[in-house]
Amino acid sequence: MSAIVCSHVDKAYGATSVIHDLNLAIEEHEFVVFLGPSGCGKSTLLRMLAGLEDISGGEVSIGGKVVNDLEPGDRGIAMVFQNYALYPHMTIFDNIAFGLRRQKVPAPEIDKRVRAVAATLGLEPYLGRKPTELSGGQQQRVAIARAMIKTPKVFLFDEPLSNLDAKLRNHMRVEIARLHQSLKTTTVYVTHDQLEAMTLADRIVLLKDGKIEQIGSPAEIYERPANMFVAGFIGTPNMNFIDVAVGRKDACWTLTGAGTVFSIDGSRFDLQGVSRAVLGIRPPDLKTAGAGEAGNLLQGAADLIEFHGNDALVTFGTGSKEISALVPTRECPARGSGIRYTFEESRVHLFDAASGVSLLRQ
Amino acid sequence: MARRSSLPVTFVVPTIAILLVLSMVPTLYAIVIALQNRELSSTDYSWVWLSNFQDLLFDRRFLNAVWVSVKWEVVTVVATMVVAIGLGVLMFEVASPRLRNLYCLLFIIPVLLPRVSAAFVWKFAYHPLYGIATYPYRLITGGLIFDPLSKPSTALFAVASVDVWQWGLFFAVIVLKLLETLPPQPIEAARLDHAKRWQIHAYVTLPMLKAPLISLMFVKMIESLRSFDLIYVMTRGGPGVATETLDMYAFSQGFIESGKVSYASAMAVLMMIATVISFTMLWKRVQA
Repeated sequence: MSAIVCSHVDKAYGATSVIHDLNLAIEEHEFVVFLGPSGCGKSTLLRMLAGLEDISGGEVSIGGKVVNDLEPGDRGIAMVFQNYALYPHMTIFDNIAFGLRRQKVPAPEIDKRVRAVAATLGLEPYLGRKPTELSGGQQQRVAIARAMIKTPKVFLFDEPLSNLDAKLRNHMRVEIARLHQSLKTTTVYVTHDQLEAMTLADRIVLLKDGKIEQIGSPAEIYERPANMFVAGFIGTPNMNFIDVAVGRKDACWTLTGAGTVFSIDGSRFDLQGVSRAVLGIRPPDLKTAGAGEAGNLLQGAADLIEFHGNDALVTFGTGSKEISALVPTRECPARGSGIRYTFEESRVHLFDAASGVSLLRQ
Repeated sequence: MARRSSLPVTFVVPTIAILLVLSMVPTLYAIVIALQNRELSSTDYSWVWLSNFQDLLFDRRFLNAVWVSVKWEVVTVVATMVVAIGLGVLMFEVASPRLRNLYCLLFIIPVLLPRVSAAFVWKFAYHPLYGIATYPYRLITGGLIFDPLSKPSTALFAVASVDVWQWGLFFAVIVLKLLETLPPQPIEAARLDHAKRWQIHAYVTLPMLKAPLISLMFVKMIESLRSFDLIYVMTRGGPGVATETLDMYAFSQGFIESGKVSYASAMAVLMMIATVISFTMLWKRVQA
C-alpha cells in the first residue's frame, strides 16, 4: 500500500493557480524529494500534505486514510522546518517533549523517550539549554528530534538545510540519510538543491509551475531526462543545447547546427518525421578530440576557463553558440587557443524543438 | 572641534535644566510642606516635622484610601490585561485581516476620548432610570432600579469598567499587532504537535510575547495611578468613601474639606515613596 497518495490535487490562491491536477503515489519507506526552482509549488505541496495549507481540489490520503479535512496533528506526520521553528522560550527538553505532553503521555515515559531520542541525535548535553544557545546545526537536530519522537508515519522536511553553511549542510545531509536508513520512515523532502536531491532521494519528483515534469530515481532523471527543462535543471554545470536541423544521409542521421554537421546512428532516438531538434550534451561528456578524429567535432577558441580543482570548465564559441566542456585540468587549454572537442553518441540527448520533449526511445 | 563638541551640550543642557526644575522643584517643595503645618485658611505656619505622617497612621479614612487605591490598581490592571489578551487572541483567531483593521479602528476610539468626556458618557450610561448600561437590568426585572455608582459594593467596579473600556480595548489592538509580528512557524509546529488552539496561545505565542506584555502591564500600572479625573467626575470618591483613592483623599483634605495643605502633601509624599519602592521591586523581579 502506498504511504501517500495525491490524486488530482489542485491549489489556488484566489484566481492564481499554484498546483494543477497533480497525481503522485509515494510508497512505504520511500525517500522522495520534491525538487524544483523557487515558486514551483514544492513547498506548498508539502504544506498541503502537512495540513498547513487547505487543499483546493482533489484528494490527499496518508496511510490509506483521506486527510483533506484532518487537523495537522491528526495526520500521523511530523515536519521539520527550514528555520527550525523551535519554541524559543522553552528548553530543548521541553521543545522535544511538547508534542507528547499535548497527547497526555505520562511524564516518566516522556522523560524516557526524550532521552532516547536525544541520545540518538547527540543532544544529551543540551537538554537544559534554550534554542538560542545552540548553533544552527544543533537547532536543526533538535527540530529533527522533535519530529522523530512522535514516531510518525511520514516525515516531512521543508528545505531543512538551507539555513546552514556549506560544511554543516554536507554533514547534516549524511545524518539525515543515516537516520532514514535506520528508521525507514517514509520521507518527503523539499529542496531546491539538486545535490541534496540526487544524494538523498530514492525518487525525485521534479516540479515546475505546479506541474510534475518527471518522476524517477536520481540516475534515471540524470541519464534520461524527459524534457529540456529537466535536462537543463539537473546536472552541474548545465547541459549544452544546440539547435539542429535533422536530415537523413545514407544509413545515418545528420544534425546540422552551430556551424557543424553531426552524423549519428540515431537508433536510440525516434527521429522519424522530426525536422528540427535540440541536441543536448553535458559538459563532462565532451572529450578532447585526437588529431586524427574528423567526425562530430565542436571547434572554437577557448573563451573562458574556470578552474574547479580536478577539472576545469572551458567555455568556447562555436557558430553563434556558447558551449561549455568540463575537462581534466591537465588537458586544459590556454585562454584563446584553438580547441577541438568530440563526444560519444551514447552520451547525447535529443529533444523535439517545438515541445521540448525527449526523443529518446522508451 | 570645539564647536562640534559644544553643539550637543547647547541643545541638551537647557532641556535637562528645565526638566529638572519642573520635576524636582515641586517634589522638593511638597516634601518641605509635608514637614510643616500649613493650612489654606492662614498664612502663618511652623515646622512640625513628622507629626503629619504620624497622624496619617491613625487616620481611618487614610487607611481606607490606601486599601481602595490598592484595590483600584489590582482590579484595573488585571481586568485590562485579561480583556486585552482575550480580545487580542480572539481577533487573531477568528477575524479576517479586513475585519481586524475595522475592529482596531473601533477599539482605539475609546482611548482617544478625553477621560472626563468618557467619565461623563458612562456616568450617564449608568444612570438608574435612563442609562443604557442599566437598561438590560430594568428590562429583565420589569423596571427595578439598579444604580451601580451609588452602591458601595459596585461603585469601584463600575468606575473601573470605564477605565478598562478605554485601556483594555486599546491594549487588545496592541496585543493583536504583537501576535501578528510573531513568526508563523512555531505556531505551525505547535499545530503539528497536537496543540489545540487555546494551547497554542497558552504555551507558545503568549510566552513568546512575555517581555512586551510585561511592559504593557507596567504602562497600565503607571496609568492606573492617575485615575483622579475619572473618579472625580463619576463618584467624587463616593458613595461615602467607597471609591476614595489616595489622590482623591489628598485632594479633598487639601482643597475641599479642610484646606490642610501640609497634611495632603504628607499623603502625596507617602504615595510617591510607596510607588517608587514597589515599582522598583517589581521591575527587579521581572528582570530576574
